[in-house]
Amino acid sequence: MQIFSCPFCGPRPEYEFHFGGDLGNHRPEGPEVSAEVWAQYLHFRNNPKGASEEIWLHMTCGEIFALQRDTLTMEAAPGQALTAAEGRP
Amino acid sequence: MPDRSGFWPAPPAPDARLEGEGLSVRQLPPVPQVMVSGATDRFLAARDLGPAVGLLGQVTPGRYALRLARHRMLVAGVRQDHQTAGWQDGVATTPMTGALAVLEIAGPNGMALFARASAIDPRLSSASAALDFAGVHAALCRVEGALRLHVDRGLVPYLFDWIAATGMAR
Repeated sequence: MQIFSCPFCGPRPEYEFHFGGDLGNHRPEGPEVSAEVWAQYLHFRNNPKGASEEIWLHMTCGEIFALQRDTLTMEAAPGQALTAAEGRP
Repeated sequence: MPDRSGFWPAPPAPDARLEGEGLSVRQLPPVPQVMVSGATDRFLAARDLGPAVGLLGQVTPGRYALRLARHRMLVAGVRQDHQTAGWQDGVATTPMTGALAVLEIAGPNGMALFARASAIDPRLSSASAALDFAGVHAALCRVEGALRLHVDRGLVPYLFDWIAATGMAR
């Protein structure tokens, strides 16, 4: 069982969490967004082998947070609370 | 139209109880409950309540508050009618008495049932009493040696079935 650490609740089992995408994949704003930028936002994922930065949701408390995780070793650092403005810890 | 009433399980009787070795599970009579969001500390101070406890926190049976999230808690033992519910002074209140049932899990094997229902390490403290218990969202605390599980009322038949299926109580 993989254990993730919610910034508010602490260590919890993985089934209480939901993947939320790559960290920093912000929705494009404004009327002049090109099709390529939309495609990048909607369809392309980093999918790294090794260290990754992701957004996760802790479904029981509703906390949305940043998680640094290694996709190779499955090591996961404690989650970091997001700042509302930046979408980053 | 075909009669589908037999497809849906009847809810357990109000006095239904599951008994097993060192384990007793029953649904409590409706416990007054209020969901509070926003300035939760202000709500607690106004009603002279202690701090909201986290997972498996010890509370007194009369009135208590369970922390669910940073700015949300479930308060038990406090009545709130629908007319006065809503946003007021930075606090949002929602009556939850009808929405949430309270199961009492008593006996020395109560924590063994918890271990079947969740992979959470009970030795670690957690700021939030909310958890995934046997696949459903719930909130869990301790009251006078027993566990109290606050869970959607509509899921009580499922939980009774699930507990019976573990073989720990029937």
